[in-house]
Amino acid sequence: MHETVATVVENRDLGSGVWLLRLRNADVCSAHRAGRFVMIGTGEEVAGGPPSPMLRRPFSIQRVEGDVFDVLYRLVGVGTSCMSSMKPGRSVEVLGPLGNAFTPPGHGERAVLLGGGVGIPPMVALADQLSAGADDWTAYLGVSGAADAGCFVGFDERPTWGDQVVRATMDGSLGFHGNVVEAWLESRDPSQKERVYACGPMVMLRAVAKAAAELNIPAEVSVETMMGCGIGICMGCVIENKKYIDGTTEERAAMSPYDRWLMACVKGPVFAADGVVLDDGGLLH
Amino acid sequence: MSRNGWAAPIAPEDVDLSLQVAGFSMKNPVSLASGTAGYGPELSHAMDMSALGGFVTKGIAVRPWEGNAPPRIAETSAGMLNAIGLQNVGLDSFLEHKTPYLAELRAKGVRVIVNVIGKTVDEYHAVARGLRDCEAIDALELNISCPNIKEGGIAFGTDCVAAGEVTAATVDGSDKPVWVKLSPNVADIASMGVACEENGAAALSVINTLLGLSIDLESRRPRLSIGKGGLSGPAIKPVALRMVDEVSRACTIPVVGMGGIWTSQDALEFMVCGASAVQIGTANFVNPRTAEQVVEGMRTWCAERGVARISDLVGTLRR
Repeated sequence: MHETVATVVENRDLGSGVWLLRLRNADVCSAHRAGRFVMIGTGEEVAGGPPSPMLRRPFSIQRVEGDVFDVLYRLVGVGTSCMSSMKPGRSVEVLGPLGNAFTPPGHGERAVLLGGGVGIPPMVALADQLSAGADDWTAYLGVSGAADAGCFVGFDERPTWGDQVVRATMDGSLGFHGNVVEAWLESRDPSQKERVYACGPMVMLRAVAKAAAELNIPAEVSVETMMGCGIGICMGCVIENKKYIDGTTEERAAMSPYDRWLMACVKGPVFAADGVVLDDGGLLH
Repeated sequence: MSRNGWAAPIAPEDVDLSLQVAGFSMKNPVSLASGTAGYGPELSHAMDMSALGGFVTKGIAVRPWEGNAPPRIAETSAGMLNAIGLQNVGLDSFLEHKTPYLAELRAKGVRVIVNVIGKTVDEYHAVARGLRDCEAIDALELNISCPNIKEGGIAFGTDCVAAGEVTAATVDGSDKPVWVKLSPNVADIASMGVACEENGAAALSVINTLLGLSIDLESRRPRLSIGKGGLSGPAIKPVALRMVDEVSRACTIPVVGMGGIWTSQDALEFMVCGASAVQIGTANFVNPRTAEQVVEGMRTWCAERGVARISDLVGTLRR
């Protein structure tokens, strides 16, 4: 973890309120692994007081190239609105990389990457990592319609990946007509051993967890919750431990009430899909 | 001497930042506040913990607590609301897993204060007894003022008799100085301080969070799962300063000031208003190195004004 300052290299509007921010910081880049995130100070620094907005915002690292890392964001509130006005050359407060990372696929396992909307970035990071390791993977990426295709930017930047990447839209305006889980289930080879990785809206993650459980495939999800600090001290970003509710007698006996709510920043953001309750409690939007 | 009463500048290294609080010395006035710095190791990757004068742990109950469902936090103007609900590992796990790090911290000259929570007088007493003979700890800080639990807590913090009773019971169970963290959600905080002092408190931490409410207009729902929460951050600093002033004038025991400290100047304002030491809370979430920067800023500020001992500033508010 580095508490540091990064420099804006590029901040690009990809349409429909989706933006790509490129930041330069060698320390953050060198400690990155797919699944990890950074806390970004989005407000202007104010002498003698807190920036406005005060709290930093969490973003998955999408891609690392040299000493530059990318984050994808959607304009949803005051923090991301401030981010969209960041000009190249500006210094930005960054804490990271934070959190855990995806478990690499086992021998003979094909990695299935499922990304929805602004949940696609960790799948870009994972695709980069798996490609570097010559692992077998396929990505299924979904957005609501072609207007949101900016979310695909991390995969669009790698045209050589070709048909390893399946794009889907809910309205059928681009690529596969349907959601990413449907796209995956329709094309999968049942004889192939798989391991699933997913990031996206909770409704999508629930569908992933359900399908993976039915097919008895190991699956990991990266979750977004309302996060204050990113380092386990504010205890705001919790998600419910599924084992605390419906674990085996032994699993429950080994837990204390403290274990009911797990901090997504330090226990996650990557969790076993059957390990946490995937509801929207932590988010208003 | 300047118009404001300051002497000629001195060298920063000649400024003595140490002070005495309730029976022990601290190398500087700055501690991390309870519930904003975990049990210690969490922040050690982001800051130099040995720079601290003191460290106050997340509240400890006699048994582990779940805490509240999310959402637990909501940002507000120059502050935030929280309703964590005192999720904590409980006394046994604390003693087994958390005190080794705290002992290391203490060996570096950082004073370790354990925040104690409970739902009944007996529970506070039980935690105090359980922490007896624990050499990793310098003092206890009673949280009688957390607004985020359904029972207990706030009742102790808003009633002089109940506050006195829980203070006396904890003092009785403990072999360490007992600080009491006061709630700002009262009409007369000075009387609360007096009640705690009369029942054996060694110091008073002023203030805990202010009860607040933030709503999402579109859905017309509270932003926090349990509705109300505790407001912290720079937004509450003027309230905290007023209360430090009132409590320090009504009580003879030391006051430890907190509430929205962001900079060294904020911290020094608390000391001028009567705080012998200060704690930094919400700022840790935004910049984990705030405390280090505040300590250095205090040193510089004092040097420029010829303040040789920072303790000389305590309670020097001119009226």
